[in-house]
Amino acid sequence: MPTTPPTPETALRPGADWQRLLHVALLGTRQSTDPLPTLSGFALPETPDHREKQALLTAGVLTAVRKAGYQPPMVAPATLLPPVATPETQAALGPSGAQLLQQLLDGQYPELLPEFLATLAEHQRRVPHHLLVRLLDYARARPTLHRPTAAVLGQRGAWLAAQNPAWQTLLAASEQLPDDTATWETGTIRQRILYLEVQRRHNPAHARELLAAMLPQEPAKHQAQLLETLQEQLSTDDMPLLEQYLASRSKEVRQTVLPLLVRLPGNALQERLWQRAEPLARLKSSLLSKKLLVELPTTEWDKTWLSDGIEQKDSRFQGEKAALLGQVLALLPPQRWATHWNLSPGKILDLAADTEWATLLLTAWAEAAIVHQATAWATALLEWWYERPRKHPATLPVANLARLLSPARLTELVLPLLNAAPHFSTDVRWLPLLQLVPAPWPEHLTRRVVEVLRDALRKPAELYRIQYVASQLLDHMARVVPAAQYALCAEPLQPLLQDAPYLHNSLARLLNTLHFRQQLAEALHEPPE
Amino acid sequence: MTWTEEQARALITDAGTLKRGQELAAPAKWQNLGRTDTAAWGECKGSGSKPYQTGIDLTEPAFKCSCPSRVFPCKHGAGLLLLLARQPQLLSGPTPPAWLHDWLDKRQQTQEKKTSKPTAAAQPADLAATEATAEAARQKREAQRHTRMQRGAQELETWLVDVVRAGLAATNQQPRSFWENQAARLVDNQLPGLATVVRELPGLRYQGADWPARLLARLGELYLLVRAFQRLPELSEDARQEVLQQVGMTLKKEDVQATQPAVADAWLVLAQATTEEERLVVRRSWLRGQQTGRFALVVEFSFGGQPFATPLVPGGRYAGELTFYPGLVPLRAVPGQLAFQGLSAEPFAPAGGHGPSQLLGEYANALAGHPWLREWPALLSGGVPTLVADGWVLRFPAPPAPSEQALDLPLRCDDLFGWELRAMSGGAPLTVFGEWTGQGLRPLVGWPEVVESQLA
Repeated sequence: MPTTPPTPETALRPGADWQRLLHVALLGTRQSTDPLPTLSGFALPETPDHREKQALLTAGVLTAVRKAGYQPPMVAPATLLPPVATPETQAALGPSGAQLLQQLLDGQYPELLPEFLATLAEHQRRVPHHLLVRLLDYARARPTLHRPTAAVLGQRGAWLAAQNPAWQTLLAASEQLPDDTATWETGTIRQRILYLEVQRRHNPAHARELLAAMLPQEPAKHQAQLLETLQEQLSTDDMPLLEQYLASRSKEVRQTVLPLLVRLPGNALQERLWQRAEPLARLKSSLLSKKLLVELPTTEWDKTWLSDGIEQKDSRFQGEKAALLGQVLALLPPQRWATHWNLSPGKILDLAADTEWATLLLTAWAEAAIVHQATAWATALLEWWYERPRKHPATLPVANLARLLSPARLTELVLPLLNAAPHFSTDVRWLPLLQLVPAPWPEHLTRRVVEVLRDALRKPAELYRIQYVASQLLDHMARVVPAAQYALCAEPLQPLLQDAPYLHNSLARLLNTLHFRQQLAEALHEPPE
Repeated sequence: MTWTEEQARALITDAGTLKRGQELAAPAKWQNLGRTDTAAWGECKGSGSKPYQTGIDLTEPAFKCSCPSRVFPCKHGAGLLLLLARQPQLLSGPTPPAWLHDWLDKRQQTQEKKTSKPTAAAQPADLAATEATAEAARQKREAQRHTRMQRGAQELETWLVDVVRAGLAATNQQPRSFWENQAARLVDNQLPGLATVVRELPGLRYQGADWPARLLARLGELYLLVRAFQRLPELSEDARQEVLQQVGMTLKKEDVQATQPAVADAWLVLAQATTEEERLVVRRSWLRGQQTGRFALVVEFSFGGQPFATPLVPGGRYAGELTFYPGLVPLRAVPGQLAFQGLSAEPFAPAGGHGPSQLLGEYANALAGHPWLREWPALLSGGVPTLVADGWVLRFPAPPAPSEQALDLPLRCDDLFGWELRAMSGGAPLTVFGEWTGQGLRPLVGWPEVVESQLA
């Protein structure tokens, strides 16, 4: 390696020299006869391949010179002041909380993340700075996480997300940017629905006006999606708009406004439907018994039915005329029949089951109970359904009915069934209903189910029979048993884990999930670092 | 001593083991969990009838498990370590079980044997003769190797001359084999270091429109190396060592330790970067001596889930000696006996960060001594991570002096890491440690000036 340092008088022009050299090198010394830049002190002796070697040597030296003389780009003064994040107003998660969040973002217990973020916001806690990018990147492609994420970003996270176009949509989902009219006018349908939902929560009348002005220009598919936002803060003020779109030519639009309209007190549609239905279902009372007499409509379907929202065909009901009656019954508040006949829902269901139209009546009333959120009817329907073994005339939308009831109410339904058959097998009647009891399970329910499970686990040889149903139940429990009941489950069950074939993994998953949820709950009260 | 998640993860070399360990880092499958200051243990339910006994010697740390896996740590060890980092309160048993005692005792005995071995190795005199013959044979092999290497360098020079004669534009049409064949010849001639450089050349074409300039720069550096290698006897001892390592002569760790002076200090692990290729995991750890202020790069390899030779963890403090490889700018070092001193609890930036002009001055000096320097450790303070049209930069605001101007140092990192640095900074200056490559900074870790917990 030549060691002679370049003399100070050498005019070193690394930039220009490099360009000349690069030009020659690109074409090749065979093609290009341009002179090579010379660096004093780095001349090679004359050889046949002198020119090539000189080019390579000069390239090596200039590269080192250019690296050593690297000049960072200067910045124009106008761009000098970057915005600085404002100080935080909320406390960050503590160290274990941050740790747990990191595990969630690593993909463990993904089902627990949305709820954790939501409770974090309720407790006025925020995500620590070092996890912001992980969270934003995780939530970006998961629209359901946008709103809960936006609520826990803190000042730093909001500041950060606003600078990245990929994360700005996430902020748009939060309620922090409600006056962005550009979104409403030019956004995607999803963004516009989100915008409208926010408006609807704060100012329902304004949202309705926006909606009414926009709807005529929209295709039917979008009309239906946009009209659905009216279910938030639904009021009688919305009636004219809903009635207008009941006459829409699109079935999708009609079916969207219909359940909203019939829910409004004093709507004319409900009266018209009652007039159609009342003569068709009569209660015949004699001294000893009561009987329900049901007839189908005598007239064929015509346009007048359509103006009441009744379609010519409905896949929920078999037969054309049966479909007409079924739709009418599914729209009327079921309570109205109870009042009309002065009978309890349970009694009415018993009478309905004895008619030849049992399937139709039960299906329609179940739908009606869901539309009108009639909890008394939902209870009656579920009781009737699970009470005793009978030949079921129909399948009921039990999951939707159960959703109308509180965990406590469902517990009252399921516990007697459980006590009547306190053992685990695939065909016990309480099992399907138990899996519909949502969070949070009352303590006495958990205790009873754990007892039944413990008894089952003590007979390991028979576990293969119940492997599937039991693991389903355990997975459900991991979601709905409150974290505070971890000890209630772990104390009796963990000792059995070591010898629980087939159910080993489900059981470990239940206990671990509950334990993890318990830690998440504790993290909410952990002091920040 | 408390372990953080990050530090625990640094000890788990195998990605699959980490994933399975994560699943085991929950209480349900464990029994008899416990720990002392120096050990942790537990019994984990596996597929067999008997639970596996898993233990960790925290002084090292080292792992033991009764499961049949040959990966260290196995998933049970990994799970136990993560559990220790996440929920130490679950490891509540105070008394180590007997099986753990046995293992710890055995470990201690082997440790003692290891340290006493060098003194015991006295050579009987009658071996001296055979030693001499072996030495002669070795010198002969060495001479043969040098001849072969010189021939390889000569061939490479001819190849380089041909490339320049035909022009760089023509290389764009060359098939893969054009580069591969030359690299293979270099390997045959025992010049694997040069072969690596040649193998990297075709990839430059995909790194941007200025690939001819990058290619020319790399060819020029390669040529300087070839010429330096051809004049090996004329070089200084340090330069000779450097050039030999550059062309691919590997120095044994033991030889480095036998020939070079050890540097004793309290070492702090500033940053670690791990890359995986096939099943080989390469971990680069940057250490800094707290008294000498010296930077040291410890490069270690792990194949097929075996543990690294030294269990360095980010933020770990170690007392002991490092021995630097000989060369023009010694950075790479071999760890000697390092005693783990715990973890640096401080989230504050290490002291001694430089501004950009100081860094560039230092780098230019280093480059003057070592023209093939690939990366230079840089502890930079005062820069704000900022996204500009070309990507992320560290923006250094103008100092009050009117002659000075604000400037940007480009960051060579992926987009999300740029955002992480930005998140940490909040728009205020940050201290960043990374590797300066001559064209940009590869950031490895950043510290905010004000720690988050102290923000109002």
